[in-house]
Amino acid sequence: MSQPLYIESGGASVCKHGEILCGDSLSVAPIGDGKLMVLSDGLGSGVKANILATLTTKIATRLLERGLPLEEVVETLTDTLPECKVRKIAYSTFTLLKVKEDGRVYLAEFDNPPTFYFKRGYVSKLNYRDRTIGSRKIREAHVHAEAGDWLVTVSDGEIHAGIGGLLNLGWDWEKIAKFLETQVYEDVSAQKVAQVLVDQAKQLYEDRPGDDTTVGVLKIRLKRFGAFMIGPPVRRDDDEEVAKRFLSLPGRKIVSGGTTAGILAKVLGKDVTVDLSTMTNKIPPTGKMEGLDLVTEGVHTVNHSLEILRKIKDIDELSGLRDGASLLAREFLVSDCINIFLGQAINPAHLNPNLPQEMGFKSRSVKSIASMLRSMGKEVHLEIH
Amino acid sequence: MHVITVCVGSACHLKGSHEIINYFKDAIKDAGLENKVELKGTFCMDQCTDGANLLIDETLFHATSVDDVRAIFQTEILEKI
Repeated sequence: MSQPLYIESGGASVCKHGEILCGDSLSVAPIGDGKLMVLSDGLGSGVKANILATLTTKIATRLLERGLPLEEVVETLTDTLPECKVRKIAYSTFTLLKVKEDGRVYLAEFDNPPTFYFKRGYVSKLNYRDRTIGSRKIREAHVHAEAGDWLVTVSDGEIHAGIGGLLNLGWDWEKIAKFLETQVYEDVSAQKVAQVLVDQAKQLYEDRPGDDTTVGVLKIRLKRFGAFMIGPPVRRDDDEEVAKRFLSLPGRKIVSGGTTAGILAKVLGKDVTVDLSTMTNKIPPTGKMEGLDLVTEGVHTVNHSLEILRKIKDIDELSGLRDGASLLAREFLVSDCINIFLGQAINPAHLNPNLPQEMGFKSRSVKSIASMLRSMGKEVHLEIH
Repeated sequence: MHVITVCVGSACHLKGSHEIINYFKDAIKDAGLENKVELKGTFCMDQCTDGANLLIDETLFHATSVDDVRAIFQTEILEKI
């Protein structure tokens, strides 16, 4: 069986100089077993363009989510979009990108620049087939993508960057393709690539973009799994069975709590060692055990990790940090699918009324982490033992 | 060679295992015993209610303050080396 894929998305845009609203719209939505990205460029700029583009992405996303065919989407758009009083036309472009987790890609474009397809170091165009729906000529393409492939779609503001200024004819599709080849590598995120492309266009426009510029990026990669176990099961008899099941889960194995680590040490027949150099004022040190990817102390580390997840905006903020809470937060952020085993056995020492109240909040913190990760679009399975 | 092992589990952490470790680090250095005493951490020793817990070689001690560990260091390490 081939390994499951994950479709990571990123998007960035910049408004035409002097505008507050962007006349492009980018929408990303999960569909059953994959992702749907829609990019639209509305006629003109400012409010009017923004309304046209937003309507287009919203309508297309909603209809495609429900599995309606492209004809219906195009007809609905034609019938719904308000007409521009000046130009007497209702117009917006679109790119629809549907990528399934088995690698199947469907692409439909209307009047947008061709989507960039990055595979094995090179950018190319997909093989399009033309199709006419109503009065609109649409390009369609199907391809089977694999891990390591990228799809990048842009509004024409990107292609025209620098036109009449730094570059006579603008940035141009081929030059962007070459640039993209230098920016894409395995560890870079989809969001980063989107931002780099928009920033580069902004520079070419000398900080005064002549058009709304938007980039949408889909990175197709292997799905990253993480398994997190915290707390021993309430029934001591369950220890071994739960531990063995945890160890059989896919992906990285992360364990919090000394007693929990002890249960796994017994099952694995290994020792836990503590790395004192990772200790900080607030966070106890991490541990190491063969067969596990990260071992930390329990309740404090998890509470701190939750704080970190609440605060940070980008995973890069954690780079270089070696304390347990930062490492734990990092594991959560890089995983696409996380299986959490929460054991609710009570540690009698934690009931001591002299200890701070947070000691009893472990379950609550773990549940907060689970719901926070879900809101980030991650697949989270929480099992309580 | 003596080994000092300090519990860094949740309960012991709250009871000051961080300060205890820092005290031992300094004390070992000040006494010039880096080659004779090794400082290690461990997760839960299952004695949470009595913590903070520490082992000097195989013997278990409980400490509630840096003063306690200063006394332990004096009697168990300095006086025995």
